[in-house]
Amino acid sequence: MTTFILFSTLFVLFVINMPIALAIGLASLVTLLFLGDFSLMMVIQRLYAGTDSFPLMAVPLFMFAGALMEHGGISSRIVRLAECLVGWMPGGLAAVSIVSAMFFAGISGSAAADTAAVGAILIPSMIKRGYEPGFAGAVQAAGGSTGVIIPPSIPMIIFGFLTGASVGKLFAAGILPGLLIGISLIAVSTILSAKNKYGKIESFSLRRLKGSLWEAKWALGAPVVILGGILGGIFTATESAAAATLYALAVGLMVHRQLSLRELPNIFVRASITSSVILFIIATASVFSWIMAIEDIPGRIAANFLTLSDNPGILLMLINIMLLIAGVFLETTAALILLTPILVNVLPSLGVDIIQLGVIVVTNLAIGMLTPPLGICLIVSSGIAGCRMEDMVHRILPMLLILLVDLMIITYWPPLTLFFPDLLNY
Amino acid sequence: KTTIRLGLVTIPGSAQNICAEKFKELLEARSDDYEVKIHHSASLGSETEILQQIQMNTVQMGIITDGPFDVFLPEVRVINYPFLFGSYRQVDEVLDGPVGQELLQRLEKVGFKGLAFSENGFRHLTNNKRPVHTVDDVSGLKIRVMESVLHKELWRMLGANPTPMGWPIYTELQQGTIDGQENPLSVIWTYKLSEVQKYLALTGHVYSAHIDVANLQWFEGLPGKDQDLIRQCMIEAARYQRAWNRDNEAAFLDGLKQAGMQVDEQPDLAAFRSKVANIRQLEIYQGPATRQLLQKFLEAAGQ
Amino acid sequence: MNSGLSRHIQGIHLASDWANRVTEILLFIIGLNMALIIGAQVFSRYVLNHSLFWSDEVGRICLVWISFLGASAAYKRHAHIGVDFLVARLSYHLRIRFAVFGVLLSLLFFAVLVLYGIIFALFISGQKTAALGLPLSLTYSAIPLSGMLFSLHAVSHLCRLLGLREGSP
Ligand code: NA
Ligand code: NA
Repeated sequence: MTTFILFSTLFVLFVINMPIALAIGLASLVTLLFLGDFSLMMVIQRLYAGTDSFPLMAVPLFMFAGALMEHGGISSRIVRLAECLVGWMPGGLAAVSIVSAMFFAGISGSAAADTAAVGAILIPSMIKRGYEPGFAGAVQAAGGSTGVIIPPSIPMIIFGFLTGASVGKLFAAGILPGLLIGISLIAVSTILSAKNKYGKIESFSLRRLKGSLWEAKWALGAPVVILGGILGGIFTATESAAAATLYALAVGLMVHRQLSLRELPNIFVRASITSSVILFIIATASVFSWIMAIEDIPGRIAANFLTLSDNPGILLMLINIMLLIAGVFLETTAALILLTPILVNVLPSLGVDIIQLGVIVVTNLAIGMLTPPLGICLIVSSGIAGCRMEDMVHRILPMLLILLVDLMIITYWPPLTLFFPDLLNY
Repeated sequence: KTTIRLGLVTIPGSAQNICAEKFKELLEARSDDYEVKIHHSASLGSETEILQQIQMNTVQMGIITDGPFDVFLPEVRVINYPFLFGSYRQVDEVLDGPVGQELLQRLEKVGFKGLAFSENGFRHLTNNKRPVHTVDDVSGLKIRVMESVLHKELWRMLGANPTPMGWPIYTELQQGTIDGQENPLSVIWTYKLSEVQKYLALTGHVYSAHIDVANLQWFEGLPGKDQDLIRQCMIEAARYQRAWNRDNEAAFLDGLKQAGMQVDEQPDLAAFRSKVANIRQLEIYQGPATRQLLQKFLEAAGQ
Repeated sequence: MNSGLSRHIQGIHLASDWANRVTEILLFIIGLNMALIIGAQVFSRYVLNHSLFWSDEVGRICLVWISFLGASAAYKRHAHIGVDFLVARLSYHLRIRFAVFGVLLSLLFFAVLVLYGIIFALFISGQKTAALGLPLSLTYSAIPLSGMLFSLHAVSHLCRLLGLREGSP
C-alpha cells in the first residue's frame, strides 16, 4: 500500500508537470502523512542529509570549472583543434562537433553543459554550411552525451555517493567506453553526412594541427589536472574539482585574458543554479529513499526481480531495459537515486563489479538524455538549433541504435570498463 | 505484534550487526509480542541522524558507536579517554560496574534509555610509511582521523598530521592521499585494509564502545516485564558480541599478518602515554559533569 | 482589479526580485569560497604538511547552503526540470489551471520547509558540528530560510498566473 501511494502520487505529479524535485518531495510528504508514524521533522533531517556530503561538493565545483572554461576561451580553442584533427573527413563539421564534445567532456561533468558549450559554436556553423538543423542538433546532442561517460562525470559522482564505490575508479572506468562511444558516433555521422553530401571543411595540414594543439594547450591541461591528480594520488575527486575550478579561473583571467572579474559573479551564479537543480533533486529524493528504506521497498522489489531469472546475463539485459525505460521518462539524477538502491540489492546475482555496474547505469541514462520527452541533451540542442524535439527524433534514431550496440559491448565485455582501473591497481 | 525498528550504520558481519542480530534472535525467541526489524548499512542515515530518529521515536533502538553521543551528552567522551583501559578485563569491570551504569543512567537526560555496552574494541595504528615502535615514528604521518576534536588533538600531540576524512578511505590509503589510519582489528580486517597498509602497531590508544540504546519514553511506556526482558536480551547480546570480538581478534591479527602486514605487537606505549599526559587539560574535558565523571572513570581503572 | 490590490501585488513581485538578488550575491560568495577552501586544503596538506581540520566541514556547509539557496533561485527563474509533454498538449486555459494547482501544491511543501525547519532547528538546539563546534540549528536554518524564499517566489508566480488567466493567450 505504501509503495502504491508513494509511486502513484509521484506519477501523477510528474504528469501534471510539477518540477521533478518538488514532485519527489511532495510524494514523500503525502506518504509520510499517510503512514502517520513519523514526525514531519524527518523531511528536514533527510533534506539536509541529502546534500551534506563531501563527494557531492564535486557537483557544483565541476559546474564552476566547466562554465569558467567555456567563458575563458577554452571551447573555441577546442573547436579549432577538433577542426584541424577531423575537419578533412566527409561531413567534417559533424565529426568536429563530436570530437569537440569529447574534449570538453574531459573538463565538464555534465552532458547538458557539454552540449551547450560546444553546440553554441558548432550548431549555428553547421546550419550555415547547409546541414539540416535537426541533424545538426541531433549530432551535437549525441556528442554531448559523452560528457557523463568520459570523466569527470556528475552522474558517476552521484552513483559513488549512493553506493560507496570509489569515484576515482568510476572515472577511470569511463575512459575507454567514452572513447568507444565517441568513435562509433563519428562513424555514424560520417556515413550519414556522406549520404546527405555534407562536405569537408578543409584539407588536413600537420602544420595547422600543431598550431591549434599549441593554442589549446591550456585547455587540454584541465583534463590532465583532473585525471592526473586523481590517478596520481594527489587528491580526491572533490579536490580535483576544486583544483579544476581554480585552474580554469587562472587560465581565463591571466593566460587567455578572456575572462573579466566583472563576469565572475554571473558565471558562478548560473553554475550554482544549474547545480542546485541537481542537488535539490538529491535532497528531496533522500526523503523518498528514507521512506523506501524504512519500508524495505528496494529489498522487496529486488527480491521479486530476482525471481525472473537466475542467469546473470539475462538479469543484466533486464536491468538495461529497465534503465533505458527509466531514462526515457526520468531526469538522470532522479533515475539514479530511485533505482540504484534496487540495483545494489541485486548486485551479488549479476556477477559484475560495482564499478562496471556504475558505467552500465550511466551509459543507459546517457542514452536517456537523447530521448523525448525528457532528454536533457536534446532539449539543449533543439533550443540552439531552433527546431522542435519531435522533429529531431528520426534524426537521432541512427545514433541511438549505435549507442545501444555500444551499451551491449560495455555490458558484456568487462575488460573495456575495468582495464584502466585494474591497470592502475586501484 | 509490536515492531521494534533498530538502526545501525555498519554492514552485515560487522561488530554492531553481530550484537543486533543476537538481540533479535534472543528477543524473538523469548517473546511472541515483538518483532525486531534491523535497518543496517546506514540505510536510515548516519549515526548522529539515527540517534535523532531515536529521539523522535521514528526508530526505537540503535547500536551506535560512542563518538556520536558526544553531541547529545558530552560526558560520554570519557570512554574514549586515551590509554584509559589496560585490558579487556578492566573494560568489563568499569563499564559493567557502577560508573558504567552511571553513564547509562545519564543518557536519560537526553531522551535515551541506555541498555548495555557492546564494543568495537581497542583502536590500533596502521600506516604505509614505516614501522611504528616509539612515538617518534609517528612524527609527520598523515593519519586519517574521525571528525572529532579528541582524535584530532590526540594525534596532534603525538606529532602526526591528523587529517579528518569520511569513511570509506580505502582508495585514499592506496593512492597515498593519506599515510595511515587507526581502527580496531575487526575493522582493519573486514575492510581489507591490509591490502593497502603495510605496518600495524598495536597501540590500543583508545577504547571504542557502542552504546545500545532505546527511546526512553517508548521504553518506559512498555509493561514492566517487557522492559526487563528487552533489557536482559540486550545485555546478553552485548556480552555475546564482546566475547565474539575478543575471540576473533587473534584470528584477525593472524589473517593480517598472513596478508603481509608487518606487526609490532609491543610498541613503546610509555612514551605515547607521556606525550598525551596533558590531554586532560583540553577544553573538551573541562565541563563540570565531564570532569567529575572522568575522575570516577580514572579511579575505577586504577589511574 | 482595484489599484490597492495591484499595488500589493506589485509589492510582492518587488520583494521576490529583491530577495532573489540578495540570494544570488550569496551564491557567488559561497560558491567561490567553497572552491578556495577545498583548494586551500590540498595546498595545506601537501605544501605545509598540516591538514586543515575544518575545511571538509565548512565545505559541506557551503554545499548545503548552495543547494537550498540555489534551488530557490532556480525556482524563481523557472529552471527546475519537469515533464511537460502532456501538459503542452492541453488548451491554454487548462494549462494555466494546472500551473496554478502546481504552485498551490508546492506552497504546501514550502510551508513544511518553513514550519518543520524551525521545529527541527529547535529540536537540535544545543547540538554542535564536530570540527568547529558551530550550532547545528544555524547550519540547518538554510532549509526554513529557503522555504521562505520559495514561498515568496511562489506567491509572485501565482499572482502572475492569475493575472494571465484573466487575459487571453
Ligand atoms: Na565528462
Ligand atoms: Na529521456
